Amino acid sequence: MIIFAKYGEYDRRELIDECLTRYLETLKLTKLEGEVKEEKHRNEKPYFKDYPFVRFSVSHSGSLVVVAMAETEVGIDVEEIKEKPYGRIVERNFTAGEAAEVKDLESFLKVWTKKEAYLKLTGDGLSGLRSSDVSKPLFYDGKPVESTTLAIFDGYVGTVVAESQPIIFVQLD
Amino acid sequence: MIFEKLQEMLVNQLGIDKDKVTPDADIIKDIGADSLDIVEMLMDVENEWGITVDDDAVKDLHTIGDIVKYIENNKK
Repeated sequence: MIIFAKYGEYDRRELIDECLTRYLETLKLTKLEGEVKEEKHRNEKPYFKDYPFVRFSVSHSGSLVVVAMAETEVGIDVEEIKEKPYGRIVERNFTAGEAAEVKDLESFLKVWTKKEAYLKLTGDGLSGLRSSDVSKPLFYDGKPVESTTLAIFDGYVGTVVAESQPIIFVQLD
Repeated sequence: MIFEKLQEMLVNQLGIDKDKVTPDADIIKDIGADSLDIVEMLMDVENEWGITVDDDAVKDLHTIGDIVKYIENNKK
């Protein structure tokens, strides 16, 4: 998976085009260097394709936008760390298990972004907000998915959810 | 009246330009609201107009106009 990050104004179409181009370039590089093994037995499609099967998820908050791209379904969400009355959000939308993980603003945002990222991965979006529970193990399409906290953006908290895989970070100008 | 009130709420809560809040404005793409902004806005809408925004309905709310219409259809 590659997670692209950009600060400041952006045009969504241009951004996604740039990310896709860079993502494909990166994959070609690893192919040429022979680091990627052929995994034909794992799925019907051969691993080495001219145009790989790309999945992506976009999230923005404040002046940061992130795009996660992978060959598996992926969901990503970031939130700017800003004081807010999160109590009522927890009360109305979190399960007991999730609420137990909330101790302060940052932990609230961790749970929130994990919930959001999972809902973006499944495609349910906000309509699944109250019926989801990320304090339990997560699955998609019968397979377990992992959530990874993103603490590398100063002033932001984020989570990415996908099948277990290495993550590369790229910051765009 | 609903539109003006909603516009005021967005300007005050999300701190965005009044000019950006038009009926056709897409909440995420044009207004730049993130997921938390949207949930907070919907909770404020529920409180202001005494309605409940169904989890299912959220899927179809893309523009400011969609929200105004939803409020109009559901308020008492």
